[in-house]
Amino acid sequence: MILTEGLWSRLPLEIIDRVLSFLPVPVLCRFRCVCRRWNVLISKPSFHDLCDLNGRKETYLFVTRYLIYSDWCYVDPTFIRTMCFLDLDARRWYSIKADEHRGLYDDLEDDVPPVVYDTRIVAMDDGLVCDLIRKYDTLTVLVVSDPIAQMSNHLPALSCPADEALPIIVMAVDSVARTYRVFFVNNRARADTRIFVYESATNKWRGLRNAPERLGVSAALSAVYFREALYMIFQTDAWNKYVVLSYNMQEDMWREISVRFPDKPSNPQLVVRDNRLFLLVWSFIRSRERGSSSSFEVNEVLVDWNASKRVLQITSAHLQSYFDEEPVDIAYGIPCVDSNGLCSSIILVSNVSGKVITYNAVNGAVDVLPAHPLGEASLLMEEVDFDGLPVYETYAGKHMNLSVRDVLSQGLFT
Amino acid sequence: MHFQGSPNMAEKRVKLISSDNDEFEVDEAVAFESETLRNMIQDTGTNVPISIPNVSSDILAKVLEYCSYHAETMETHDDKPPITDAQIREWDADFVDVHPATLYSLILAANYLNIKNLLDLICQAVANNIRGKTAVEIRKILHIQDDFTYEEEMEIRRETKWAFD
Repeated sequence: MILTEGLWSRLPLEIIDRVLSFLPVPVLCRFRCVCRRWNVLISKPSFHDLCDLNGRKETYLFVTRYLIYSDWCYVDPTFIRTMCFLDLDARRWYSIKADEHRGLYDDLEDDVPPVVYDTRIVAMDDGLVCDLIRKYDTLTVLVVSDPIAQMSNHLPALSCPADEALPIIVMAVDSVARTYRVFFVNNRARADTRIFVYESATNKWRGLRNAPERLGVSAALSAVYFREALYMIFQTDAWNKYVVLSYNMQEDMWREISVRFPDKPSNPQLVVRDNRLFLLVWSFIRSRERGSSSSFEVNEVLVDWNASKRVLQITSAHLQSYFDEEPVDIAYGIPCVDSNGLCSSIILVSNVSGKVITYNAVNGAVDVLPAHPLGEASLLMEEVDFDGLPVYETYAGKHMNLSVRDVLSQGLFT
Repeated sequence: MHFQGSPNMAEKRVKLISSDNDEFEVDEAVAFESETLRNMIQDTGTNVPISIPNVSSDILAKVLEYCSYHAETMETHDDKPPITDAQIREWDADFVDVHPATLYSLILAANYLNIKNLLDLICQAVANNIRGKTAVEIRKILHIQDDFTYEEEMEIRRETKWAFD
């Protein structure tokens, strides 16, 4: 369809406004430049209400790359401070660069050397991201920010020792009450797990009284917030054995969820999507005839039934043919639930290359999406003086809603 | 609420007259897809033909095709499986795959006849078409005057720099 000039210019203004309300948020940001009338319209609350009705939901996937590196490595700071998100409908990436992501480091510059030892995005929920900034193992700061609205909040220091292993951070945003919680799981392997929770309403941390260690678990591997409870995967004392526990804040109670893990499980991960809980896990199969192979599984955790069911399984050989890397290292998987409530496909992001694919669970078809804009690791390596030290890259990702109201009104939590 | 015909009563028919004086006869349920026609019929009844002075016969035929299909999707038949949402979406996508001039006339007709679902469908189609365009292209298509100063435009770009890269 080619829109001819002239004809459309006679369209009544209220219809043009209606058309605009169907546009994705990044396009609306660009179209503010068309004329004064459009700029005013796109900033109007009544137009935002129309967008809430007509606009698309959750088609933006935030994925970030970060490096784990020691302090004598040089890493281009724009790399670690760039937030990227993929518009899944338009198949286009957007990058929010460090200079646009203000406030993140402002409070820290005075009292500590400007070189940041380690910073990474550790959690995301509903438009907010949580960065963990560590300096020379002495200071750990969590910063919650809204990269689109360029606002940030440095959380109060936590009175627990900084840990060698990266803590697990979970963020839970209540967009109605405009508050958020941050869970901090201090995760020393083989030692007690300490869980702290920050409440934005009180701006305070508190420790969870009831520790999960009493249930015979050790290191935590993954955690999500789902239906007002914290769900976590723990390693048990037995080798290669995992258990899923849920923690109810109100009752201060842990409960074990019956979840079927495959044989020889590895890298289990919990993901919440469309108000449903999924377990992603690798499984290693060793057969005498064909040698060892692995497969990637998606299981839905049916909390109400205290059960789980496998929704799809992909062999690593199949994944390798699309990701073109061996071994395939999936950083994040996002199951997509269709209108009939079935898990019809899954979006997979590679840890190594930044490639993104959608795998169709029904027919096995694969749709290769544009790779992450910071995906070319080789370009970065030129900047890195790593003295033979390994430089690792990892991704984290989350589906998010973008609303033009939040983008233009400086965010949800100001 | 969609009109549900009573099985004891023969479905009422409505006569519509286009701007070029063609007469169309449809079930009341089909006409009721249009909020404007529903109000008219409730005021004047079905005996008098309703003239629609600003919709031509080819466009009215298209609009009634849409209304008939969507009125039908609301009905349940014991002998036929219900029409799925996916089938409706496919039908809708085919429906708006027409010449832009036709689409333009349809959008005005849907607006005048107040058929919300049809209006939304076409607005979405037009939005899909313009979303890849630049501000300059939009101004050309819609004959909009660029009334910003250079500084003002730069300020807007700076506010959401990421959207312009």
